[in-house]
Amino acid sequence: FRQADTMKSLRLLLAAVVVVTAVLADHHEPTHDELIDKVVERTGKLTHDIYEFESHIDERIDPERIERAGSLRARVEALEEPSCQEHEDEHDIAEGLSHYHQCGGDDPQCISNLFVCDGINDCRNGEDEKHCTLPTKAGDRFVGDVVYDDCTKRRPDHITVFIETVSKAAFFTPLPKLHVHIEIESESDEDDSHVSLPTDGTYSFAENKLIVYAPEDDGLGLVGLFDGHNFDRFVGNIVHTLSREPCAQFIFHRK
Amino acid sequence: MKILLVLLAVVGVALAKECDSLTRLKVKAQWRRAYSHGHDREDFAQAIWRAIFAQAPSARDLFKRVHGEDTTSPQFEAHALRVLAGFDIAISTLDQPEAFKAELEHLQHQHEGRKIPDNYFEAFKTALLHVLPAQLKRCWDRAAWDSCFDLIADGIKGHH
Repeated sequence: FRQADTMKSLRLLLAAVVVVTAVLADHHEPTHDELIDKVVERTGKLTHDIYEFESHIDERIDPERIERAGSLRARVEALEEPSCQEHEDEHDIAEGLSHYHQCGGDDPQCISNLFVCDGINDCRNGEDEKHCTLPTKAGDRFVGDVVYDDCTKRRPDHITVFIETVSKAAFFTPLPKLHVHIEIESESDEDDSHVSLPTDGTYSFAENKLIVYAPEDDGLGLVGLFDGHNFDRFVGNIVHTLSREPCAQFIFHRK
Repeated sequence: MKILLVLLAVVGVALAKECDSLTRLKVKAQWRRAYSHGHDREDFAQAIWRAIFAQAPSARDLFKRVHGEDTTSPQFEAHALRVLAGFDIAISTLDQPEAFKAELEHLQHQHEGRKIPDNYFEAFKTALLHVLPAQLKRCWDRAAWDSCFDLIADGIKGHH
């Protein structure tokens, strides 16, 4: 943004130069028009150069490009050993649960998940309060395509997660509450059916994780994991609520 | 209609949940998981106190002696851990009526004369009921905690 400011003042300066030269040009021999034309031409060239330079900068700071690179980094980080497990409970490690969040950057630091997006800076680099916009807003719809399915009742090709409402307690903001509908269309030999199962859920800023509690009494819930950069897509695992054992997977895309 | 009646009956039971013996065992088991250990415990305590002070900023004044103005100060960290330790004794003895009664009397004695308004206890409860599920992440029974917390808080306050 500061660059845009500099550009603006640069352009103003150029305009001023044009005016000043136009005034000065009155005292010289060559015809005024020729001189002024020259200056105007030169100004035009410089302006073009500035615009070109600006577009090069924009290319480098393009948010989409940064997001794509971030998603790649997240995939590498997922392959690495978890960097915040030193004080974890062994049961939690076995289940892939973590109570700690990596502040990241050049200054790695682990802080409790309970402190991410709570309004108080806990990371030395302030990272824990920087990315606190909820990616699942009221009215959002994510459609998931099946990867494998060993447990759902209907074995659908697609599942839709519809976010109906979102609420955040002002005094405890790291885990906003959601009310969602799980919509499933399924075709069997006898009939086509459509169900919309209402249920509750929560979003964890620390883990970029969407947790949808089991809507039916079969104890199957949904855990959706965003990569922390691209918030239009998440990997959704259907899990047994008690054991946390995944038994189906869908890839969800924002519609 | 029948389904609706059954549903209403279920809701009625859920609302009127008491801190009975089974509920106490459930709360005990869930507390064990949430209370955890080591550094995690300090963070758990810290999160609860931040949520309390966010609701009732004036409550900080009661904790001047233990540096309530900065919840990350060592003095306040120590205090937060002491509070949870007292709470831990109360929860751990939920299924031993005599020991439970003795602990509540002890806690009541520690709190009397401090002029703690009831809404501060409410703020503590609300904070706990928000941080607990965040810490547990799964399988927790809000109604059970609701009723058993009230039992403990009433014991400390000395009234309902």
